[in-house]
Amino acid sequence: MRQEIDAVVGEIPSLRRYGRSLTGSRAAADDLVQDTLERAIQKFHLFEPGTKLRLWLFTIMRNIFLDHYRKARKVGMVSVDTSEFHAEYRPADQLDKLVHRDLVAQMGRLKPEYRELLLLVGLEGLSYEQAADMTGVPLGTVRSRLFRARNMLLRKLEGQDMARRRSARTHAANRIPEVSGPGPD
Amino acid sequence: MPPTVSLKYLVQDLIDGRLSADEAARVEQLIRDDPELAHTARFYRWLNDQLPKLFETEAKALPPRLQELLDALAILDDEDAEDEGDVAPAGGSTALSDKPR
Repeated sequence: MRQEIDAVVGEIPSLRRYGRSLTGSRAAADDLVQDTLERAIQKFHLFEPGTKLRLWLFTIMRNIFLDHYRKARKVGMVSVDTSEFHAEYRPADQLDKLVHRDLVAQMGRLKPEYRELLLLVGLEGLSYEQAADMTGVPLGTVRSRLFRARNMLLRKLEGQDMARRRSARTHAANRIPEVSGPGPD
Repeated sequence: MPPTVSLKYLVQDLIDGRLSADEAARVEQLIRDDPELAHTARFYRWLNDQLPKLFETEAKALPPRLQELLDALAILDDEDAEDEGDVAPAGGSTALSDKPR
Protein backbone atom coordinates (compact mmCIF):
# COMPACT_ATOMS: atom_id res chain seq x y z
CA MET A 1 0.00 0.00 0.00
CA ARG A 2 2.81 2.39 0.91
CA GLN A 3 4.28 2.17 -2.58
CA GLU A 4 0.94 2.95 -4.20
CA ILE A 5 0.32 5.89 -1.91
CA ASP A 6 3.80 7.28 -2.56
CA ALA A 7 3.32 6.96 -6.30
CA VAL A 8 -0.02 8.76 -6.18
CA VAL A 9 1.31 11.45 -3.84
CA GLY A 10 4.14 12.14 -6.30
CA GLU A 11 1.54 13.15 -8.87
CA ILE A 12 -0.23 15.69 -6.64
CA PRO A 13 1.44 18.79 -8.14
CA SER A 14 0.34 17.69 -11.61
CA LEU A 15 -3.14 16.92 -10.34
CA ARG A 16 -3.40 20.35 -8.75
CA ARG A 17 -2.37 22.04 -12.01
CA TYR A 18 -4.80 20.02 -14.07
CA GLY A 19 -7.53 20.53 -11.48
CA ARG A 20 -7.05 24.26 -11.73
CA SER A 21 -7.23 24.18 -15.50
CA LEU A 22 -10.57 22.35 -15.20
CA THR A 23 -12.19 24.23 -12.36
CA GLY A 24 -10.63 27.65 -12.72
CA SER A 25 -9.97 28.11 -9.03
CA ARG A 26 -7.39 26.86 -6.62
CA ALA A 27 -9.87 25.96 -3.89
CA ALA A 28 -12.13 24.00 -6.24
CA ALA A 29 -9.06 22.32 -7.71
CA ASP A 30 -7.96 21.13 -4.28
CA ASP A 31 -11.43 19.70 -3.62
CA LEU A 32 -11.16 17.91 -6.94
CA VAL A 33 -7.69 16.61 -6.07
CA GLN A 34 -8.98 15.28 -2.78
CA ASP A 35 -11.84 13.44 -4.48
CA THR A 36 -9.43 12.10 -7.08
CA LEU A 37 -6.98 10.83 -4.47
CA GLU A 38 -9.73 9.11 -2.53
CA ARG A 39 -11.08 7.40 -5.61
CA ALA A 40 -7.61 6.48 -6.86
CA ILE A 41 -6.67 4.80 -3.59
CA GLN A 42 -9.98 2.94 -3.51
CA LYS A 43 -9.60 1.80 -7.11
CA PHE A 44 -5.88 1.24 -7.21
CA HIS A 45 -6.38 -2.46 -7.89
CA LEU A 46 -7.78 -1.42 -11.29
CA PHE A 47 -4.60 0.42 -12.27
CA GLU A 48 -2.57 -1.56 -14.78
CA PRO A 49 1.11 -1.54 -13.85
CA GLY A 50 3.25 -0.43 -16.74
CA THR A 51 0.75 2.17 -17.89
CA LYS A 52 1.14 5.82 -17.07
CA LEU A 53 -0.07 6.59 -13.57
CA ARG A 54 -0.45 10.31 -14.29
CA LEU A 55 -2.72 9.61 -17.22
CA TRP A 56 -4.85 7.24 -15.13
CA LEU A 57 -5.17 9.84 -12.37
CA PHE A 58 -6.00 12.61 -14.85
CA THR A 59 -8.72 10.42 -16.32
CA ILE A 60 -10.20 9.82 -12.87
CA MET A 61 -10.05 13.54 -12.16
CA ARG A 62 -11.69 14.47 -15.43
CA ASN A 63 -14.46 11.92 -14.91
CA ILE A 64 -15.16 13.17 -11.40
CA PHE A 65 -15.22 16.72 -12.65
CA LEU A 66 -17.62 15.89 -15.47
CA ASP A 67 -19.80 13.65 -13.28
CA HIS A 68 -20.15 15.79 -10.22
CA TYR A 69 -18.88 19.30 -10.52
CA ARG A 70 -20.30 20.23 -13.87
CA LYS A 71 -23.68 18.56 -13.31
CA ALA A 72 -23.98 19.93 -9.82
CA ARG A 73 -23.26 23.45 -10.85
CA LYS A 74 -25.04 23.26 -14.20
CA VAL A 75 -22.15 25.07 -15.82
CA GLY A 76 -19.40 24.19 -18.21
CA MET A 77 -15.73 24.39 -17.41
CA VAL A 78 -15.25 27.84 -16.02
CA SER A 79 -12.75 30.50 -16.87
CA VAL A 80 -9.53 30.54 -14.94
CA ASP A 81 -9.40 33.05 -12.14
CA THR A 82 -6.34 34.85 -13.42
CA SER A 83 -5.86 36.71 -10.16
CA GLU A 84 -4.75 33.41 -8.62
CA PHE A 85 -2.47 32.41 -11.44
CA HIS A 86 0.71 34.23 -10.65
CA ALA A 87 0.54 34.75 -6.92
CA GLU A 88 3.89 33.10 -6.36
CA TYR A 89 5.76 33.96 -9.52
CA ARG A 90 7.72 37.19 -9.48
CA PRO A 91 9.31 37.92 -12.84
CA ALA A 92 12.67 39.59 -12.52
CA ASP A 93 12.23 42.71 -14.60
CA GLN A 94 9.46 45.01 -15.64
CA LEU A 95 9.17 43.74 -19.21
CA ASP A 96 8.97 40.13 -18.04
CA LYS A 97 6.32 41.17 -15.58
CA LEU A 98 4.19 42.79 -18.27
CA VAL A 99 4.53 39.86 -20.66
CA HIS A 100 3.80 37.41 -17.88
CA ARG A 101 0.71 39.35 -16.86
CA ASP A 102 -0.49 39.39 -20.47
CA LEU A 103 0.08 35.65 -20.81
CA VAL A 104 -1.83 34.96 -17.61
CA ALA A 105 -4.75 37.05 -18.82
CA GLN A 106 -4.82 35.45 -22.25
CA MET A 107 -4.57 31.92 -20.86
CA GLY A 108 -7.65 32.69 -18.83
CA ARG A 109 -9.50 33.75 -21.97
CA LEU A 110 -8.75 30.63 -23.96
CA LYS A 111 -11.60 28.22 -24.48
CA PRO A 112 -11.39 25.66 -21.65
CA GLU A 113 -10.97 22.77 -24.07
CA TYR A 114 -8.02 24.57 -25.69
CA ARG A 115 -6.44 25.45 -22.37
CA GLU A 116 -6.87 21.90 -21.13
CA LEU A 117 -4.97 20.45 -24.10
CA LEU A 118 -2.27 23.08 -23.93
CA LEU A 119 -1.59 22.11 -20.34
CA LEU A 120 -1.86 18.37 -20.88
CA VAL A 121 0.57 18.37 -23.80
CA GLY A 122 2.68 21.49 -23.28
CA LEU A 123 3.07 21.25 -19.54
CA GLU A 124 2.35 17.68 -18.44
CA GLY A 125 4.03 16.03 -21.40
CA LEU A 126 1.17 13.81 -22.55
CA SER A 127 1.39 12.59 -26.13
CA TYR A 128 -1.34 13.61 -28.55
CA GLU A 129 -2.60 10.03 -28.43
CA GLN A 130 -2.84 10.06 -24.63
CA ALA A 131 -4.54 13.45 -24.64
CA ALA A 132 -7.00 12.24 -27.30
CA ASP A 133 -7.79 9.13 -25.27
CA MET A 134 -8.29 11.11 -22.13
CA THR A 135 -10.43 13.88 -23.51
CA GLY A 136 -12.35 11.69 -25.95
CA VAL A 137 -11.60 13.79 -29.01
CA PRO A 138 -9.94 12.59 -32.23
CA LEU A 139 -6.19 12.92 -32.62
CA GLY A 140 -6.60 15.50 -35.39
CA THR A 141 -8.74 17.62 -33.09
CA VAL A 142 -6.05 17.55 -30.40
CA ARG A 143 -3.53 18.79 -32.95
CA SER A 144 -5.77 21.53 -34.32
CA ARG A 145 -6.93 22.72 -30.88
CA LEU A 146 -3.35 22.97 -29.72
CA PHE A 147 -2.46 24.87 -32.84
CA ARG A 148 -5.34 27.29 -32.39
CA ALA A 149 -4.57 27.80 -28.72
CA ARG A 150 -0.94 28.61 -29.40
CA ASN A 151 -1.70 30.92 -32.28
CA MET A 152 -4.42 32.75 -30.38
CA LEU A 153 -1.90 33.42 -27.61
CA LEU A 154 0.71 34.49 -30.15
CA ARG A 155 -1.65 36.94 -31.84
CA LYS A 156 -2.99 38.35 -28.59
CA LEU A 157 0.41 38.79 -27.01
CA GLU A 158 1.80 40.37 -30.15
CA GLY A 159 -1.17 42.71 -30.25
CA GLN A 160 -0.59 43.76 -26.68
CA ASP A 161 3.12 44.20 -27.29
CA MET A 162 2.42 46.45 -30.29
CA ALA A 163 -0.11 48.45 -28.30
CA ARG A 164 2.46 48.88 -25.55
CA ARG A 165 5.09 50.06 -28.02
CA ARG A 166 2.62 52.50 -29.60
CA SER A 167 1.74 53.82 -26.19
CA ALA A 168 5.43 54.22 -25.34
CA ARG A 169 6.06 56.09 -28.62
CA THR A 170 3.09 58.37 -28.03
CA HIS A 171 4.28 59.04 -24.54
CA ALA A 172 7.77 59.82 -25.82
CA ALA A 173 6.41 62.05 -28.62
CA ASN A 174 4.34 64.00 -26.13
CA ARG A 175 7.43 64.61 -24.11
CA ILE A 176 9.56 65.89 -27.00
CA PRO A 177 8.53 69.56 -26.79
CA GLU A 178 9.59 69.57 -23.18
CA VAL A 179 13.09 68.38 -23.89
CA SER A 180 13.86 69.64 -27.40
CA GLY A 181 13.19 73.31 -27.05
CA PRO A 182 15.98 75.83 -27.49
CA GLY A 183 18.49 75.63 -24.75
CA PRO A 184 19.82 78.56 -22.78
CA ASP A 185 22.21 80.79 -24.66
CA MET B 1 5.44 34.89 -49.16
CA PRO B 2 4.14 34.05 -45.67
CA PRO B 3 4.42 30.42 -44.60
CA THR B 4 1.33 28.29 -45.07
CA VAL B 5 -0.73 27.01 -42.18
CA SER B 6 0.47 23.48 -42.88
CA LEU B 7 4.08 24.61 -42.44
CA LYS B 8 3.17 26.13 -39.10
CA TYR B 9 1.56 22.84 -38.11
CA LEU B 10 4.88 21.20 -38.89
CA VAL B 11 6.60 23.63 -36.55
CA GLN B 12 4.18 22.58 -33.84
CA ASP B 13 4.87 18.91 -34.62
CA LEU B 14 8.57 19.65 -34.22
CA ILE B 15 8.12 21.41 -30.88
CA ASP B 16 5.93 18.58 -29.59
CA GLY B 17 8.47 15.95 -30.64
CA ARG B 18 6.26 14.27 -33.19
CA LEU B 19 8.68 14.21 -36.13
CA SER B 20 11.30 11.66 -37.10
CA ALA B 21 14.92 12.83 -37.06
CA ASP B 22 14.89 13.39 -40.83
CA GLU B 23 11.62 15.30 -40.76
CA ALA B 24 12.81 17.37 -37.82
CA ALA B 25 16.01 18.31 -39.66
CA ARG B 26 13.99 19.41 -42.68
CA VAL B 27 11.66 21.54 -40.58
CA GLU B 28 14.61 23.07 -38.70
CA GLN B 29 16.03 24.09 -42.08
CA LEU B 30 12.70 25.65 -43.09
CA ILE B 31 12.69 27.56 -39.84
CA ARG B 32 16.20 28.87 -40.48
CA ASP B 33 15.16 30.03 -43.95
CA ASP B 34 11.92 31.76 -42.99
CA PRO B 35 11.80 34.55 -40.39
CA GLU B 36 8.07 34.14 -39.78
CA LEU B 37 8.39 30.42 -39.17
CA ALA B 38 11.34 31.16 -36.91
CA HIS B 39 9.20 33.63 -34.98
CA THR B 40 6.44 31.04 -34.61
CA ALA B 41 8.90 28.39 -33.41
CA ARG B 42 10.44 30.80 -30.91
CA PHE B 43 7.02 31.63 -29.53
CA TYR B 44 5.95 27.99 -29.20
CA ARG B 45 9.17 27.17 -27.32
CA TRP B 46 8.84 30.25 -25.13
CA LEU B 47 5.25 29.32 -24.29
CA ASN B 48 6.26 25.82 -23.23
CA ASP B 49 8.92 27.37 -20.98
CA GLN B 50 6.41 29.77 -19.44
CA LEU B 51 3.64 27.28 -18.64
CA PRO B 52 5.30 25.80 -15.53
CA LYS B 53 5.79 29.29 -14.13
CA LEU B 54 2.04 29.92 -14.21
CA PHE B 55 1.53 26.98 -11.88
CA GLU B 56 4.47 27.26 -9.51
CA THR B 57 2.16 27.37 -6.51
CA GLU B 58 0.86 23.89 -7.29
CA ALA B 59 4.35 22.47 -6.86
CA LYS B 60 4.81 24.00 -3.41
CA ALA B 61 3.38 23.12 -0.01
CA LEU B 62 0.07 21.33 0.09
CA PRO B 63 -2.96 23.07 1.55
CA PRO B 64 -3.91 21.76 5.02
CA ARG B 65 -6.91 19.81 3.70
CA LEU B 66 -4.81 17.72 1.34
CA GLN B 67 -2.07 17.31 3.90
CA GLU B 68 -4.66 15.94 6.36
CA LEU B 69 -5.78 13.44 3.76
CA LEU B 70 -2.22 12.26 3.22
CA ASP B 71 -1.66 12.00 6.97
CA ALA B 72 -4.81 9.88 7.22
CA LEU B 73 -3.54 7.65 4.44
CA ALA B 74 -0.22 7.21 6.22
CA ILE B 75 -1.99 6.20 9.43
CA LEU B 76 -4.16 3.73 7.53
CA ASP B 77 -1.06 2.29 5.96
CA ASP B 78 0.58 1.83 9.37
CA GLU B 79 -2.56 0.15 10.71
CA ASP B 80 -2.71 -2.14 7.68
CA ALA B 81 0.89 -3.14 8.31
CA GLU B 82 0.17 -3.91 11.99
CA ASP B 83 -2.98 -5.88 11.18
CA GLU B 84 -1.48 -7.71 8.23
CA GLY B 85 -2.94 -11.18 7.93
CA ASP B 86 -5.74 -10.55 10.41
CA VAL B 87 -8.03 -7.97 8.85
CA ALA B 88 -9.33 -7.42 5.35
CA PRO B 89 -8.03 -4.05 4.08
CA ALA B 90 -11.41 -2.76 2.93
CA GLY B 91 -12.00 -0.53 5.97
CA GLY B 92 -9.57 2.12 4.76
CA SER B 93 -11.75 3.15 1.88
CA THR B 94 -14.77 3.60 4.08
CA ALA B 95 -12.85 5.74 6.52
CA LEU B 96 -11.58 7.86 3.65
CA SER B 97 -14.94 8.44 2.09
CA ASP B 98 -16.37 9.49 5.42
CA LYS B 99 -13.67 12.05 5.99
CA PRO B 100 -15.08 15.58 6.10
CA ARG B 101 -13.78 18.03 3.54
